[in-house]
Amino acid sequence: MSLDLFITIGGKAGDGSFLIGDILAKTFRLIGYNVLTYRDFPSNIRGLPTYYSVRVSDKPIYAVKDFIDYLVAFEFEAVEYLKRYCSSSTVIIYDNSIRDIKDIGIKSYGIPFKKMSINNLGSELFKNTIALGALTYILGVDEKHVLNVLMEAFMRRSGEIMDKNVKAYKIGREYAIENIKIREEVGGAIGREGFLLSGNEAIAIGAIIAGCRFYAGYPITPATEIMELLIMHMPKYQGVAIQVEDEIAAINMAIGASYAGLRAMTATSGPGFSLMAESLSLAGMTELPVVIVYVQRAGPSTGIATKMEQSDTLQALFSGHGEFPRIVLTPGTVEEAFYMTTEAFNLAEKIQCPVIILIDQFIAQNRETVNTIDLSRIRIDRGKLIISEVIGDYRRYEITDDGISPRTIPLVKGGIYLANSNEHDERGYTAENPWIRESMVNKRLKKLEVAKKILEEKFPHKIYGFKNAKIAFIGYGSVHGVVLEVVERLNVKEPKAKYLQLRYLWPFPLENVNKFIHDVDRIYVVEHNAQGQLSELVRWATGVRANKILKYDGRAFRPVDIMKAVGSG
Amino acid sequence: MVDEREFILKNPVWCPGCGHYAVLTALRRAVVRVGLKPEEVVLVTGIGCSSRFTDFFRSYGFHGIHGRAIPAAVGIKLANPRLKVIVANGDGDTYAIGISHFIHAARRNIGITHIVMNNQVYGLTKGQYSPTSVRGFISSTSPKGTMEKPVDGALLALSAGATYVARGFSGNIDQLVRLIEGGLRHRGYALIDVLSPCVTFNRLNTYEWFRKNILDIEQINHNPSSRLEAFKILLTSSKIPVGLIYWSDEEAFEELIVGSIGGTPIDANISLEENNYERLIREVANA
Repeated sequence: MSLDLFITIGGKAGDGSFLIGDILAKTFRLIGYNVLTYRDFPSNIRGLPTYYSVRVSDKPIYAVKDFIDYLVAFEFEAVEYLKRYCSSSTVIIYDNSIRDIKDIGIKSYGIPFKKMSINNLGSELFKNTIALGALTYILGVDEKHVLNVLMEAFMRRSGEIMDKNVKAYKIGREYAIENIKIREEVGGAIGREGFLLSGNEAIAIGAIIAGCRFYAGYPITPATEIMELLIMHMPKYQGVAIQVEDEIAAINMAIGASYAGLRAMTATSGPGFSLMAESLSLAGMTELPVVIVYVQRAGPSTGIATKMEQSDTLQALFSGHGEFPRIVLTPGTVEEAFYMTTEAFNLAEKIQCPVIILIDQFIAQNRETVNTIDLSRIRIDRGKLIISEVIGDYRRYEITDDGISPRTIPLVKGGIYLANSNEHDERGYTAENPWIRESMVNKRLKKLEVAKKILEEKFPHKIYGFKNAKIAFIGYGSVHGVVLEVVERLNVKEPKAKYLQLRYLWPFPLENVNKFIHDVDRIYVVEHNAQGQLSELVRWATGVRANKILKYDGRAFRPVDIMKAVGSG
Repeated sequence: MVDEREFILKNPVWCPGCGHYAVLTALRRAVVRVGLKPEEVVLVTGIGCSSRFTDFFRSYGFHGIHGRAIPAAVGIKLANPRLKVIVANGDGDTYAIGISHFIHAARRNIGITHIVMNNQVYGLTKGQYSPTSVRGFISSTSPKGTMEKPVDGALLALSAGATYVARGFSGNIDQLVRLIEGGLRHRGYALIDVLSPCVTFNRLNTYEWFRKNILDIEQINHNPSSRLEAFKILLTSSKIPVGLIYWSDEEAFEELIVGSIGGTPIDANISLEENNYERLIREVANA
């Protein structure tokens, strides 16, 4: 029997929706289902509406569903706001401690979560766990799995808090057994291994595994977790991870650490990346490896810090003055974010240039099932790095066939050079001669050819659907999962759609795109921004004008949004 | 035995009479006195006339961008604390565009020796006023004289928690060598603010002017180990105090970092086989 449920828990920040959402997600993970969490929350700590959704399925899932199957609401506002995402088959379970909902046209069950919490446990604090008890009974989840995860969640808290939460869970469950007649059958373990990770978590782990031993950053939503995780775990591997005064300091420290020989990274979002632009160009000019995780959020300016968007696509590709090589990787799932991070450090050192891992809030902060983390797939390749003595005439920026030159680090005998932001000669010393200038520009840009070859081998762009289909979709990053589902739907009756997932945007994969759009009737570029930045990039590169499917309200595309846009909704 | 010639890459080119010649000579002498080798020194510069140092001084070098020499130096020092990291830049780089990094370097007590060639004017862009220009200084961007108070780098460093604060003068090279040497031997952040006249664009603060307006605190009874005395001399002296203003032996930032991570980052083993990453994955995935 196939299972695919979309459950949303809505309340105000402080209601504890995230806590039980997490427990629910982990429980499904424990049972062995594929899980995706989706959080819609304000840039605020308490009092404003927050929604935590969990999608659970026996198929791989990377997108939200069209409609909510089960909605648990602690506030009437949550029902008001979320009913637009409900269908006639949605079931609402809401807190009726204050009053009942009437005439909403959706099947609703009132349970007095708050009242039960106060009456039985002396405070309304436990209403979320009571709701969890009722919900998991309705979903048909085996009690022991929920209790396992629940107890683990409260393990570090006092015994009293643990006991009260277990009691709350049971109260909710008992209530549902007596009063609610509907029931799903999620059942017991189907036993699939795997992890539940957010993009930020996968990237932090990936960086350490890749041998990154220097991280400097400044807190910024939605990238902060990367810094917090690295500060917690990097010291165990003899690495430095620090919070510094601003993003400019962060990237310059990373570049400095890289110059001294460490694999170095920083992470930020749009506002911080804007500050880093000048230094990105420095890394390009000095040919120093550095990895920058760019977690996009809704802009411009402060925008909406906690919402997804892909409106910095072109900024990631083109920011920074002057012409220099860069690599922009665009993972479409959490699992890809992990493996791409490990490879980003190899690319940065092999090509000796900045590598940007471009994701957005959706992949960064939502958790997904990662089935395997296979360490045997990972290699460390430091390129033309020299850490022993150099004999003979050393030229750091030697003009070579592929543009990549041998790189030393301080303390290496015979390896002295200047990493110079000024145009320079082969030893790094300032030079303004026209012939040196021209050969250095050529040398640096030539490296992109090598990058292209490595990228084509490591991260070939994936094509899904039918090879000869006439409807072609192109997308990257957070639209990946939803476009996959759309293509699947379109192809149910007849083979008509295909999809090209771009796994890196720079160097721009012109040949791949040209080949993909050759002989199709319609091209759709799906993206989370208002101007169709990727679509315009495709037009600039190929001369072909694609149809734009755009969303910029800060929320994830649902398959139905895209189906409507292509006239099949 | 290493001698000064090992630190000569090429002869410097500044305007004849520029104060920076003396600073470059003093730096070369100081590194030799400390017994350093070119391979273990990283000279980090920013942008400006003074930041041309990296094209003349032979060692590992990093010529970064305007205002950001300090963070690059911090990254280098944290990555490999065995390196002797020196920042040489100007008053624009340090006290204008990069002032935040300067304050944070001081409060972190990061082990870098920071030589600021302070000529109170922007030379490389041909004569605009700088944050250390005296009030009323006339320049192409202050035709009626500057209206802002000048920054006192030594006072700022001292308030920010710097553990070595000195001021030198290009007209007194022997003292300058001693001050830089002291900075190189110091644990933690050392500021050497050098009054280094710009003979082309600053016709006010000339060698003559400085000789009349500085007070050599080594000639009076100043106690550099007292922070209060240091504040007092900076705040009350009618002349510009020159010499070692403040000094205190405190643990450097990189020592604290190395202590907290159990070793030097550059020595970290990044081999996939020899690290227990399974544990890391489990810890993060189950959090």
